[in-house]
Amino acid sequence: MWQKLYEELESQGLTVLTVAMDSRPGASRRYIERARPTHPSLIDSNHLVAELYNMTNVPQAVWIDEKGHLVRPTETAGFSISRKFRDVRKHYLEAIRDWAAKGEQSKFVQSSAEASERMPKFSPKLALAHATFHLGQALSKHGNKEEALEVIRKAVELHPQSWNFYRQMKNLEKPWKASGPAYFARAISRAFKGEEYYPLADMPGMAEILGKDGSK
Amino acid sequence: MKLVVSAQNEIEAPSPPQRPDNELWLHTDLLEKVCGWRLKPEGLCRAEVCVPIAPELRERFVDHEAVHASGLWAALDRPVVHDRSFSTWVLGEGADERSRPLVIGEAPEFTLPDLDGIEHSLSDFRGRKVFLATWASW
Repeated sequence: MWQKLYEELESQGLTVLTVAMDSRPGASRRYIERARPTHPSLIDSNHLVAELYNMTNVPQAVWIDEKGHLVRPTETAGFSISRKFRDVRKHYLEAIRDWAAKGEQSKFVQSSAEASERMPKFSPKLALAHATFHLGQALSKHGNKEEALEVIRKAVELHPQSWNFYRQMKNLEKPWKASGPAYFARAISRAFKGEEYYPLADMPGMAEILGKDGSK
Repeated sequence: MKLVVSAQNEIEAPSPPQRPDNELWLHTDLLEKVCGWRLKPEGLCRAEVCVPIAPELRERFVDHEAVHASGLWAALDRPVVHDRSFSTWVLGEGADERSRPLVIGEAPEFTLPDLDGIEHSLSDFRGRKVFLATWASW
């Protein structure tokens, strides 16, 4: 999906930069090789980008202008679990095209002050969660699976909103089994508490897709 | 001993003699290599910034050539965590540090490798719009 967008918008001065939140070294390799991307496709085995941009799930994205300023904050990159997921994706892609064509005149672009203000906030607890996650990753990398799992469970406790952490924990429990029934049960139970798995990007025209009352 | 600083650097270092309090003390050279802070007469310095250390604190944080790294980190409001055997330490970034670029609306800088191991930095793309998206293979 991003490769196609890159080919389309590359000549308009927009670069699609994708980052794989790799859960195991090299896990993304076969997907990337199959997709044969020509856009820069980076591997982030320690989830650095998620930490810097306070991202909690995939796919999430930010928009960055020519000067390196944020013009849209961290948000779901066109995904939805509603029945209208195709429309959500289409609208999001149209928004990116609009930005590529009109630059800062695009109605989807925010001032860097506004985009920064809308970024999820950092806190000492989050900082501790990330440090704990890195400890777990280091232990896992050096073969200490049992303690790694214990440490990453602690990171999940400190930062329960992070599906990236949770997925990593599930993968340590049982490789390649992150997307099991327990995962979806958790997503559903959190949704009942008002926490969306893919919160809709807060951009012009998006909420209307799901109807005025927000029903799905 | 393994020292992890932020998400990227992992440094293998000889384990210093364990102290009874199990805290992390690093030789001043190693501390600088790990995180850029250097112990000087005027305090702890990184680039042009120096944090003075009051004489009574110097006693707590400095022992000859060794610096109480874990204590210092905590005093700077940064997270510090370790494994059960005190052989892997993470000196993390604090919330203030992470928030800093956002205060001025800047997209935080990073450098990561692609599949061929070639490193790319966000700033390489200055002058272009960048749609930065994450994904995972699960």
